[in-house]
Amino acid sequence: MPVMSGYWRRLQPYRAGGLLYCGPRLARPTTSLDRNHSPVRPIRPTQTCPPRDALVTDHDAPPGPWRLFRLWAGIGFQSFGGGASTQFLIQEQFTARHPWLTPEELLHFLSLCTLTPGINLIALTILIGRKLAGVRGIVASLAGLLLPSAAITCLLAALITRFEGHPAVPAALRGVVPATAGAMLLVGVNYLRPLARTARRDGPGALAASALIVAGAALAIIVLRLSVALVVLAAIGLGALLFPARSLAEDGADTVTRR
Amino acid sequence: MIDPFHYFLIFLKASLFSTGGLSNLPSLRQDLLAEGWAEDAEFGRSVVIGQLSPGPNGLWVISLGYLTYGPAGAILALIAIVLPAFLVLFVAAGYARIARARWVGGAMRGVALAVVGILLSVVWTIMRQPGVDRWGIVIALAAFELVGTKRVRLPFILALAACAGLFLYQ
Repeated sequence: MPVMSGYWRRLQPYRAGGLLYCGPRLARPTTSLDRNHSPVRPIRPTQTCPPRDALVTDHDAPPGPWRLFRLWAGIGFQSFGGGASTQFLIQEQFTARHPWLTPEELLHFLSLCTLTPGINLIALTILIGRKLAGVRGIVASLAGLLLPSAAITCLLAALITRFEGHPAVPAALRGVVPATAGAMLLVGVNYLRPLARTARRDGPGALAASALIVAGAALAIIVLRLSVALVVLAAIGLGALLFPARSLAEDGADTVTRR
Repeated sequence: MIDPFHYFLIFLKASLFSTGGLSNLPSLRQDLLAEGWAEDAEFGRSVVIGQLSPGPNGLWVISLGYLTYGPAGAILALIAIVLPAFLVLFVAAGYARIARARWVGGAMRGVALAVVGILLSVVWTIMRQPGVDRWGIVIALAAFELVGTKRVRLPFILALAACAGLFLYQ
């Protein structure tokens, strides 16, 4: 990663206190965030905040349940091609297009979901919904993600005998499937960036350990065909052994800058 | 005749011991075939529908429910895959309890790195699917570049890829 350019460094106060500051409505304490000891400190206006009307738009205000429902319904309708597309759209909507979560925080949620049995992306929907709008957020997010997808799935199931033998279906799929792999690669790279930044700061040992765990996890699944649960267990042990003891809550304080 | 409660339990069990995608297929296949509530062909069809329809891959069981037991089956399958996901709230609460312990920071960092490794392994798994050839690599790299520009929305890129597939393979 390149050394911070002067322009970028001058932007930092705005990034740390400004872009992440989401307008007056976020003044209510983000309790679910605190309760979870999420790696990201709560968002508060700071002295370095630029004039409000310059940056604060309603677009960035935390979403209510109805807005969450519409956002998730958008993801539910657009994520053709399966989990890879869904992962990509979640990362795009909640970390890039809206400043509601940092990539670190989203990855932390995804880690908790990987520790849970069941479909990870549904669990991730629950955690994001709860953080942004509480219990009503959970209901709105789940309904938004699942109702359109389930409806389209049932529609296709009812019509499958009509298009089953048609050669266009497998041909189009052969194009879409690798495209979702490309989107998935970008999702992985986006998550890797903040981890690599922290590792570089911690020195060559941490950098080597990080590379070992990422490559080891991927190879264990691809080559050895180990189960995800085993890989995660091994990563817990390796992480606790190899990284300096420090709770994520302290660690997050200086990695809060967004990409 | 399908017993709805038993049918639901079969789906719930498969969902509890899976981590998404098609990992619950073997369990469902074994149980539903043993009861005589599904045919082999219905599994193949559900997997195809799961690929075509939007949303997480794990939603393929909704189409299995629809094909084997109509709308009621789809609803039961949907409930069966959503319920176990709520366990994440317990995991999050448990994490919050131990978050202050000094070893937890390193452990969670390990998990986060492993999750990235798992995501990258998914890229490999997708590219190894039958039907993905050298042109598939070109499409994947082009999609990676296009998505990275943030100027083109994903559905549009996927539509382009579908057209490329039609052009190349039909």
